[in-house]
Amino acid sequence: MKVRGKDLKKDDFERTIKIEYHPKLLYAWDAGYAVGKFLQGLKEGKILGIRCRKCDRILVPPRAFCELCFVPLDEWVELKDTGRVNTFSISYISWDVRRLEKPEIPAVIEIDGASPGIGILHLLGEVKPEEVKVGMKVKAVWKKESERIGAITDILYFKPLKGEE
Amino acid sequence: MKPYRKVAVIGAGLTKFMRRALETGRELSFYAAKEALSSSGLKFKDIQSVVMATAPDAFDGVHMKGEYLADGAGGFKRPYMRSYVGGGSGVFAIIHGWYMVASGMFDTCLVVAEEKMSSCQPHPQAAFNSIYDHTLERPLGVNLLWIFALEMQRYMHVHKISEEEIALVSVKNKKNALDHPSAQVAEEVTVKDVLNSEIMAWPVRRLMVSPTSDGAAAIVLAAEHIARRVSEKPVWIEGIGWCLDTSFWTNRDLYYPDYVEKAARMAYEMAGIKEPSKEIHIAEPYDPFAYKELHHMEGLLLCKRGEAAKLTAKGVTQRNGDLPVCPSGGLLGVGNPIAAAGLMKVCEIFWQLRGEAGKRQVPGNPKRGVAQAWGDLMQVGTVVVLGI
Amino acid sequence: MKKVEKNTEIRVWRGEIPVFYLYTPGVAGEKFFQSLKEGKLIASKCPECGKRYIPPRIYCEECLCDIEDYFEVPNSGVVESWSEVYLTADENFLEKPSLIALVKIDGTDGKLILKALEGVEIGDRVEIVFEEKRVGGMKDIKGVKKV
Repeated sequence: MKVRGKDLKKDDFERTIKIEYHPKLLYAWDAGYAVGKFLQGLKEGKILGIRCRKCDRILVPPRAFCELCFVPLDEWVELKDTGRVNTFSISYISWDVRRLEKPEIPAVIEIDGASPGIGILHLLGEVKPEEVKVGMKVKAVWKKESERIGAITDILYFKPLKGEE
Repeated sequence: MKPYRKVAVIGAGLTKFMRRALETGRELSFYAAKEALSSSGLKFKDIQSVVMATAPDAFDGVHMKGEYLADGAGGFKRPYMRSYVGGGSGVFAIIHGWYMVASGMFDTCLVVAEEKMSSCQPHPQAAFNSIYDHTLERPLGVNLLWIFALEMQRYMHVHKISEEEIALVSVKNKKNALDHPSAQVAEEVTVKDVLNSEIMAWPVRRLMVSPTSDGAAAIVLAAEHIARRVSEKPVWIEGIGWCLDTSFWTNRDLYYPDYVEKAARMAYEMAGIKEPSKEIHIAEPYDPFAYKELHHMEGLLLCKRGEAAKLTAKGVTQRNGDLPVCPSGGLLGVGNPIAAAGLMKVCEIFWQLRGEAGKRQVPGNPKRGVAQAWGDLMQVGTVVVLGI
Repeated sequence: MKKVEKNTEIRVWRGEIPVFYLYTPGVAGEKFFQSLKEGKLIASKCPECGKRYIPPRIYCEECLCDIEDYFEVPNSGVVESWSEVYLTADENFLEKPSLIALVKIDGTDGKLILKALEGVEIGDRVEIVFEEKRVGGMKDIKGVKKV
């Protein structure tokens, strides 16, 4: 079996004639009906969920239709800003593959008030990496009201809720 | 069982899998397509249709990538379609090719898969970040490694699996790949080496991750009457299946790949397989990360949930074990040019069933194999069952 | 469809995909660019059907066979089409409109899109003018002018 291909080492790649291209990929994404309202809720310091009348799930992040039942949704529910860690990681690599001194701790957090297993992605803070556990109870730490703009980052991170198991 | 035309794989070809290829995407596609064609016994004029699987345009940096690659893949002035479902594309391509021939529309189909990730700077991973929701996730400074780390953590937590058990997969696959001519990152490592490698996003360590790669793979499909005429040992496509789960990944329990099971059931039903763990002789599940091989073995119903790690520790998944898994060396050993990686696994089953896998050959005359690919945001499972 | 009550509830989220690219020209492309650096044009020919490719390729799209035969071609050709361009890629007006021409290169079956250094008509014979300082790339060609 013939297996072809010329592999370039890093220096060869640097020396080879190359064409450089910097595309300008800028986007203005429409938040849509459901996420738009969710972001408004975040600005007001609330986490909003939405309920499907058919399967009875309370969902977050909210959406305009239930993907299992394929029906439109409009029953909004205010959820708590506490939850449990479903899974987490301790990341030492940034988005552009640089090494981080202080690790980031992303986690999937099941929000209290939503159906079981329904969570959102966010970061954990004010906690040592070795102390994070699956099942840990956490609470959102919000930006000051004047600094909130209606974004997922209006919540700075979730921190452990002491004294609760 | 509905009456379909029987379709066989009669040729296969691969390029080297490399970190940075000199060749353009088109040239890589040509190498693989040419090799597959030469090994099939057919001439180029006998090819009636072409399917091209290639993952995000953002890697090669060519919009309309499918069209760009067409002439290198033999798609010049022939019915040509692109197949794309993220990392699952490699196996999705053979499913797509199966439709071209089984429908009776074409008697032959050349299926090619290509990826050139090295063009993307500063690192291909940056292009991957667009997989996350732009409004609710990207502003958190996301990183592709997070989803894998989060899924691996959940899997380990639910089944109480240790890092050591997962490291065994890296050890096995990287060693198996030493016998693969295309391999990019084959090497002998120990469990200790894997556990000492740098933490990228805990619990993921560097030696548990497959590299970014450039490469291409291709196979030739033919309808029964042609396959029997030109090929001594056609390998039949016995079952196909694919399934997509919701993109609301934070609403799913990540410890089990439900979508892989659904895809596998679809393929097994078509193939008439009732007990996969006994009737499948070789498995090539998608292994971009070490824990993924175990995760997918369970999704493919090759063992009970939570048991894959135990089977690996017992040596069952070695080449001379009862159920060889990734005898090729998988993505961990050979490389991961996204779409081409899945098709590489199909090529491996092809060669294994024909007894042509050389040093990688699994003993005992295997008759049936399953290849599986996975992709998107922990979303898609694509499965194909091949038999001889 | 629900009517929007408060327009503060509608939001647009802005962002970007921050990547750039370094393309290798490939096995054939590398040879082509090296020859441009020397002020020459090269093409490649298929051993089976005889099709002559410019820019050169290592495979024939019609026969799907390897091509290894590279040869030099004259720096001249015939204009098959042309256009006058007023806008940039992001739709701003150019200070001065630019002229581009699609030129069939002599001795090949291929065409190149090049800058026209003066007004041209379809059917005009043109010669390819190279830059004084060359680095190995399409920019080594200054443009075409009538013979």
